[in-house]
Amino acid sequence: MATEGFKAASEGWFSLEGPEDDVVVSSSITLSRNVEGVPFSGRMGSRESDSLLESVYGAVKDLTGSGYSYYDINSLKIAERQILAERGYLKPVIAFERPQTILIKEDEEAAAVFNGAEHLSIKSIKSGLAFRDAYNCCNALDNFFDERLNFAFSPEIGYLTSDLTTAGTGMTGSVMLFLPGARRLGKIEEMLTKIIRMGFQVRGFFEDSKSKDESFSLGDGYIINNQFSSGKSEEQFIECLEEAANNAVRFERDCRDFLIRRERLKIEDEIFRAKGILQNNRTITAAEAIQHLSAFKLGKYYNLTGNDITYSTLNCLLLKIQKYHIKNSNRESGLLDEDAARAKYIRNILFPKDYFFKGFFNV
Amino acid sequence: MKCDICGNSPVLIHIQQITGKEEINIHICEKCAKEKGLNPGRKGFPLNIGSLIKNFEEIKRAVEEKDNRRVCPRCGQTFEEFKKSGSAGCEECYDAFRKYIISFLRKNAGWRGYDGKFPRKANILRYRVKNRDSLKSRLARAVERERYEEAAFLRDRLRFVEKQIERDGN
Repeated sequence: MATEGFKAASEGWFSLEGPEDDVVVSSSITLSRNVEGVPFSGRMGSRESDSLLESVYGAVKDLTGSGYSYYDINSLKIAERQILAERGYLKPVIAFERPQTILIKEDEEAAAVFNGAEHLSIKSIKSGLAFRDAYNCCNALDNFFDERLNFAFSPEIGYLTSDLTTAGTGMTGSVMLFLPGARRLGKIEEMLTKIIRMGFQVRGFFEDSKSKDESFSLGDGYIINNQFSSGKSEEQFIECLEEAANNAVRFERDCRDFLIRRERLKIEDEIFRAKGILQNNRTITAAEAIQHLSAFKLGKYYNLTGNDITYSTLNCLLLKIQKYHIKNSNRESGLLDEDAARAKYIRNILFPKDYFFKGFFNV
Repeated sequence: MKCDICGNSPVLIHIQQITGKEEINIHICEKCAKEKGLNPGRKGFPLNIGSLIKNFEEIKRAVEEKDNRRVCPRCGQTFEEFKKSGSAGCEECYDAFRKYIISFLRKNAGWRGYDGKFPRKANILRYRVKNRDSLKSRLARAVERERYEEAAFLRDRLRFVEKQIERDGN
């Protein structure tokens, strides 16, 4: 059932509404598994890697007709691969040493990458704070493969993985938080330190946006994930992640409420400027767009944006204005350069009724 | 028990160093002790403490070197490579470097035993019962030898596994 040519789904988890999505952009669960008797990725030869993919293919065949597609990653076009990377399923690498494959459900409810850093990594991403949902999707796929492949497992340690930090449950949970209020109040470090003390790792949302000031992240987006997969059961990990995320949500909302009382003029100014740019821009880079969208989203919280755009639309935009998504959605018209296409895309989504402001060349 | 340096002869001297929470146990044979400059003490006392303090660092290094040369029999990864990269080469690495892995997970992730999902085919209950019995006897031995810190950890693990058995048995 190897399918040619990846078609990025235009609807998926990112277009759905989720719990607490004014603060939580998305939550995801990854399960790492390895097949018994096959060396792990670091010590694998090409023969072993081929036979692994063969046995994977034997299992995947049983999924025919259930809405899954199976791709050989190396035979995908670079643009298609980059879209998968931007959606968070692959590492943004141009070429892979060994053959890798990906199994992905049409609605992107769950996906699995084979022969990556681990033999299998099953991933599910959900809108908003929805770890349980994501875990259930992963678990169903894990059960399916458990019946067809033998996983490397020790009753003492748990699932054995190449990376020591994922040994045990093999589970990594991560949550993307949007924290503009805490950052503007200068409380972000206090909050992140608390989260790190709970045993989590924190990093910026857009990894290539490194800034000198470590507590600043482009678009005020932060990703939190558990550092180790041992020492707790899946259930306990999920509880801890939910607790950390819920604390962050409460803290962030308090910050936002306090901020608007203290500096209404300054905040309103920033939000309306951002709105002005998003409504009227004709060319915009991804970094600039993310910054203004972030301010616009804060404005939505204060009911200042003046239209019926939902949080999920705004969260979805953060994903879809990335380089290869824009290139992909612009393939048909094919006229504009990336930044101009992005500007048009944003205007169309946020202000679809603004015919009046269409430019001279109708871009 | 075999010597930690040459790996052949029976052990004569046990050395334990405790620095804060970290505990190092070294066991060496008579011949290696002599080679590393440990002398017998006066009045029939088996070890001269001065020579131990002088040579302890070197003994530790020798033991570590031997450790680093250990190799996973399946995939050929050495212990040194494993420690550096933190990634296992195959499932057997987990057996070959078990002691290090357990202490790493214990220190960093609060490991006391596995309590997550398990593959359909794994007979986890039988393992847990066996594990409980072995923990019981190890705990008794640790108490007997007055190794209280180890005993406390074993007691935690024992309680943990007993709770699991009780939960799954019902």
